[in-house]
Amino acid sequence: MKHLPRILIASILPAAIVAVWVVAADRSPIIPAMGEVWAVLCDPFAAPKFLDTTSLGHGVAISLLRVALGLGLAVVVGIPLGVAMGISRSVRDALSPMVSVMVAVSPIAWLPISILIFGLTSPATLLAGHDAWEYDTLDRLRFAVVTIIALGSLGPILLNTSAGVRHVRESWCEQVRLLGGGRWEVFRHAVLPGAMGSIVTGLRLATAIAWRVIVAAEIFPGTQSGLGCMISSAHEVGKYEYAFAAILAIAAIGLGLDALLRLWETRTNHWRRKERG
Amino acid sequence: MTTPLLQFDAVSRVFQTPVRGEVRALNNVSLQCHEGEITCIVGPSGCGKTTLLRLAAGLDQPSAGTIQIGATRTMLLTQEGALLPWRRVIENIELPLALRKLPRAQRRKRAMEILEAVHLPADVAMSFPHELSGGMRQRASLATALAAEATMLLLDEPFQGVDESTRTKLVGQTLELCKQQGRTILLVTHDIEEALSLADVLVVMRHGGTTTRTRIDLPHPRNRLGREFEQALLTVRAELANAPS
Ligand SMILES: Nc1ncnc2c1ncn2[C@@H]1O[C@H](COP(=O)(O)OP(=O)(O)OP(=O)(O)O)[C@@H](O)[C@H]1O
Ligand SMILES: [Mg+2]
Repeated sequence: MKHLPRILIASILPAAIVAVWVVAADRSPIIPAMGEVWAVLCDPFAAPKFLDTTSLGHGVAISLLRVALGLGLAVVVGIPLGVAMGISRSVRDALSPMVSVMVAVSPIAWLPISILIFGLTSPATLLAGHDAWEYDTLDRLRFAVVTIIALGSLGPILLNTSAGVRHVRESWCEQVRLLGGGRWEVFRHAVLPGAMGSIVTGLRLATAIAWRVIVAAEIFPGTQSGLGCMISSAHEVGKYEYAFAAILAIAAIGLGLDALLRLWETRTNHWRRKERG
Repeated sequence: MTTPLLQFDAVSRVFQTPVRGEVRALNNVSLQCHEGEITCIVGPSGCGKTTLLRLAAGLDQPSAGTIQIGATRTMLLTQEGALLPWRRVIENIELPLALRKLPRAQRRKRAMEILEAVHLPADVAMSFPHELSGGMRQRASLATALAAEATMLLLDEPFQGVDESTRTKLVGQTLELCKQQGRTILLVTHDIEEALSLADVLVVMRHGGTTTRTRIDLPHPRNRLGREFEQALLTVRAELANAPS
């Protein structure tokens, strides 16, 4: 019973928003009725009417794949580089100005330059050259967009990995050394597990950034699919139920990803929270 | 007499600190530990005992003097205990077994045997170090050292914060390790009586690094109320009291 009032308090704002929506949709021809948005969400694989993009379900899949590829790239480059930054002061000195700039500039700002550099290339053009269109899904994972996702997520991965490695206690490394471990064993049994919590925190931040960046990047002209693209095409033809449906999908997926990664973060950090002293 | 397993010759260790400048933690210290013997070090706080053990473990290098280590493997058990906090107790004990390339299938069984050897109940095997009491953690650390097959054990106040009866048990175990399994032990303690009930050789350290080495030839188990014990105790107390501070 004690929690009931809190749930009530938490529902005030959503209820108010729904009420405003219902009233507004009733009076304005532009704002879609809740039922229309619901209809789009209920049939996610139907081709959207009048819109120059693919279905909501396909858009979700494409946006997620772009994020996965970009994040994957950032992890492959960022974790080894972050470890090197954590271990070596010179590497840290050499890279930190670049990392600061990377964190300060919104990754979207690089998009025009990235398009200039990468053009229409994608994993499909690497595979098939001019027949790239035959690999529909792969061809949608354009390097221009994937690269800026990677760029956006690289900063938090580098910073958190490097901080995690720097905060590894000397006594943990010494223990492995005393037990007969060499440099590689010290890394594997003391440095990596000791830094893992921080690395996962970096991944969580990176995922959150990547998910915001992908939507923004897809709104930029030039993409034909993805959730961002659905929002911009809905805007062009005034079919806002698709925009709202896309926003709800973005929110749900964003929350879901964060919850998953937070679970992972808690699990890797369980010993840190309870450790005494 | 056998060649010593550990020998310090005129060893000094100077730390450069930003606040206190040069700190001379050890000054011209000489020391010998022989195989199968327990050497106990007593001395005031800050006289360099931990520094000495770290040097003996090879974790630190002397500023001057030489150290010869004859032991194949030395293990240092620090004042804080030496367990990796993200590994379960049993996984901590398995780590040295893995590093020694023992086949995976045999590790768990061997680790459980070692756990039993340090008198830890089998149900703490799956606990994490932070879930153990201080005394249990000490014993778990000792278990990792046994799993590493350390021939020389360096113990930094291993019985600190443990109740009287557990303490007695731990002291007994330490003796057993040394006398029955032939391991060499260098042990630091603040408790002079404890040092006297264990030591084959007692080293009294003072600030500035001067040491006195006394052989204690009383038979085990030693009666703390006996006349000879009392006598030895008085001598050591007097030596510590005379120490310039
Ligand atoms: N890494 C270090 N850097 C600077 N000074 C140090 C370092 N390690 C030890 N010292 C200094 O060396 C001296 C001896 O320290 P040490 O830890 O060896 O004392 P101890 O005899 O073990 O004391 P206690 O009984 O309190 O544990 C102290 O003055 C200490 O401040
Ligand atoms: Mg000490």
